[in-house]
This record gives sequence, C-alpha cells and structure tokens, in this order.
Amino acid sequence: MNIVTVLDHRPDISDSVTESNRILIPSYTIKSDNSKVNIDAHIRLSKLNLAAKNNSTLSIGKEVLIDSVNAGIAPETIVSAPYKFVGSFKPVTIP
Amino acid sequence: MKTSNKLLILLLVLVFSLPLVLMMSFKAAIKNEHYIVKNSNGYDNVPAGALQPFKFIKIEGSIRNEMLKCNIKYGETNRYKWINYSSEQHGDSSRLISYKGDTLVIHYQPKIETINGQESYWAGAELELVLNREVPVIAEGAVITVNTLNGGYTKALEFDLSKTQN
Repeated sequence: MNIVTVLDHRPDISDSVTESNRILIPSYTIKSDNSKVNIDAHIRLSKLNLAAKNNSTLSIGKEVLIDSVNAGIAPETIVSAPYKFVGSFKPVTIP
Repeated sequence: MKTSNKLLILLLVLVFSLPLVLMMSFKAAIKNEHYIVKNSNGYDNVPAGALQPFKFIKIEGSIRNEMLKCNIKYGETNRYKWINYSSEQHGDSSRLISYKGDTLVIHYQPKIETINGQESYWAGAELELVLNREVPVIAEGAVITVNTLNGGYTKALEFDLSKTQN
C-alpha cells in the first residue's frame, strides 16, 4: 500500500490562514489503487482530479480549499473530508 | 585553623572544581576532534547525492510492507539522501538510484531473513528527495510525504499510487 501525504510546515503560517498566504496548486492529480491519500495543508487546489479504487483511503484536512473536483472513486473508498466536499466524491464503478 | 576545617575546605574545593575541570577537558577534546559525533540519530546517514535530469519519478518500495518512506521537498537543485535504518548486525538492504530513459527510478528492497521458518524484515529506509520542480510521481509500496511547498507558486502535482500486480 502506498501513502501520499501533503503537509505544510512553513514556519510563517499562523493559525489564521488567508487567501493570500495559501499555496495555489493549479492541478492535483492522484490515481490511487489500494493506497492512502492524506492532504492536510494550507493550500488551494484549483482542480483535484482523483481516481481511487481497491480500498483506498482519502483524507482531506479542513484547511484545504478545493475549487473544483473531478473525482471517480470506487464505492468502498473511505473518504474523510470537510462536509462541503463530501458531495463531490460520488462513488462510481471503476474498472 | 583546625586541620579538620582545612580538610573540609579542600574537600569542598575538590567537589566544585572537579566537574568544572572535567567539562573543560571534554570541551577541549571535542574541539580537537577527539570525539566526533557521526550521527545524532544513530542511523546510517548517507551524504546527499546529486541527480541527473529527469521528467518522471518511479518509486519502487517493498510491496508487502511500507518500509520505504520518501519525503519530497522542493529546493534549488535536485538531490537525494538516504537514511538507512538497518544495522550492521543485520546487513544492508538493497537501495538503488537509477535512470530508465527520462525516468528516475528509486528502488528499495529490505533485507529479508528467515527465522524459525518465517520471514523477518530488519530494515527500513527513508529517502529525502529534493526537487527543483514538480514532476509526476509513480509509487509502489512506499510512503510519500510532500512537504514544505515553498514559494507560493506551484505547478501541477501528479501521483500515481499503483498496486503492483504479482
């Protein structure tokens, strides 16, 4: 199993993160097969492309902003994300 | 002054001066490199190595466990550094940096020993990978951490976390 974690340990980041001090990532693409993905950083993703299958686990921290989601996840995928994102990760059948 | 008082004063002087003398001599020994701290973590810490240009990264860890940890950071030059957890007693594990076309291939295989008929793993490894730009990462059997996204400007990130079909 793979695990990918995006962390943000910038020392100048305080508890209150504004739009201006977030790192903007134009496109973030993850193909997950029996893997764990953990995104927990003060970042803004313009577009998150996600394909997850075979008991993958997806965790998105509350400080992550996502403008648009293009997600295809298998029904067994465990998703942990802020409530506003939950509807974006609708299960689909992935061959 | 009584002899007992003199002895008491001498004892007090010795008690307070001895640690001071020891500390000064130890400090001088470290300064003269009689004692060299090779690795504060107790691990086999290999110096950083340079990397040739590449467009993709493929990480091949051990499928049966998660003993390869890869920490990706962004910096000015491409470089890598292995931190090996294996001890001399149990031998070294296989770790290899190679290139296949425009792909940087990182391979790690822990040493496996059979004890009482069961496979045992003695090692684990951590790789610090510093990249000067974002490149797609294809990983198998590894734990990847992308840390310190610096500069406030980042290009697209792409990860393919595949499961090796045995």
